[in-house]
Amino acid sequence: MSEFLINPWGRLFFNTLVIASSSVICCLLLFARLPGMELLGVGPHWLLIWVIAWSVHRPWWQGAIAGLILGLIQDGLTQAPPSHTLSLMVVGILTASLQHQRYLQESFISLALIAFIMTFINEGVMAIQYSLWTWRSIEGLWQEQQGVILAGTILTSLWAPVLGYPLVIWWRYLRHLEKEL
Amino acid sequence: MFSLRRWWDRHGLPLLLTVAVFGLALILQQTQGGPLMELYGAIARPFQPKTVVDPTALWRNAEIVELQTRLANLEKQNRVLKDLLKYKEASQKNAMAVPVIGRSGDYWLQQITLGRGTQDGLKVGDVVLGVGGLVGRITQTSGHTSRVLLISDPQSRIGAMVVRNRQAGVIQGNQSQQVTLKLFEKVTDLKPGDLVITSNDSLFFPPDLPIGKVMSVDLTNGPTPEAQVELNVPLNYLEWVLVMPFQAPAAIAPPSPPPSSTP
Repeated sequence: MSEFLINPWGRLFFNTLVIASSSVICCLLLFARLPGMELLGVGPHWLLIWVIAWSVHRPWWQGAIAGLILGLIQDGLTQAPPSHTLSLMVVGILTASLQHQRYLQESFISLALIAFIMTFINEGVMAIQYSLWTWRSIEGLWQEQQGVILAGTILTSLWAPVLGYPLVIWWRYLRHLEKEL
Repeated sequence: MFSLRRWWDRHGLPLLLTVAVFGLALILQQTQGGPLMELYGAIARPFQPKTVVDPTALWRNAEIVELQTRLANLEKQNRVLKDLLKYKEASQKNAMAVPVIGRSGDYWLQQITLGRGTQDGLKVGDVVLGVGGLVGRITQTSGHTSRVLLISDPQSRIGAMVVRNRQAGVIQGNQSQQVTLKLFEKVTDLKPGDLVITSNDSLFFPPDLPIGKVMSVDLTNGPTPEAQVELNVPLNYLEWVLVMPFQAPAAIAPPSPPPSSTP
């Protein structure tokens, strides 16, 4: 396996495989409500966790691209106006700007913390788009959605380390390999 | 030229990959996530419940038998009267039982994913019913899955009618088990416990489908009376639904412009 990874094409192939399979699994999990992953009828926001795991150690424009692409995919799975691209791009840019290696050391817990804050930001941008699109007030939307948003925030931040930590470790290992070779 | 070649050597491959992934995401967005839905349907198929709940267990309850007898009698009378008036209505005979394999993909849209698609005869616009009444309508289909917009979504607006006093209104979802009924008339004797059904005015749903029961009436908020209606079907616990083929009537053509008066 390590001989496979020494070859740069082998690294590219394996990284592509990891990226493709993890994002497809995240999209499929969005629909499922498995016991233990559900609260008030909602599950964790897996695509958000993926964007956070991608953006923590990358420049801001790469976080924005990840948010754009996964936002487009989520628009296809739900509906387009209001679009998820804007909210996920904001999350990607903000996560990348956190300069993770400078301010926060421990990855496992910090992923949960980042996911907690970013879910609020994500739902906040979605709420603003919703209120502009349907001409309803933000307070009215908050009244209706507060239970769902809080449940979603708790679930996403609790499950963020489960998906995010292996991905972060894998990309850190890749960067280490590329520096060595 | 050398620096361009050097830039391409370093950044060309990541740029090409990013453009390819972006194109893929655009395709997924334009096809409403078709390939991903098919993959989810294929994975969920072994987990689908195999049999519909057996209805014969319910028939042992004598009160239900009595109500069914009276209902059958009333339906028969109703059908005879409608035949006399040459009244056309949508039939529930072609309804198909379809399993629910997934729920909504985000926190804002109220939708469910069904395990049957165009290959089984489902079309966009088909009406979805549960045990108890209306659930929603199909908004997107793929080969083996389809997506249903629930009536609890704020985008869902349904023409409704109160059974007792035949007053008409509009029902709008509130992202919960309760929906808001706004009546068209200012004066009403609506009270908690009244039953609400779809009305003839509704474009996307056939008439006389049960929706829910009035929980509270608010006469002062807004220009016309509003009521909170509790939906009959428990939307969070759906496992099987009935899909009824339905086609919305063609939109009324706009009036043709008057002939121009140029000589």
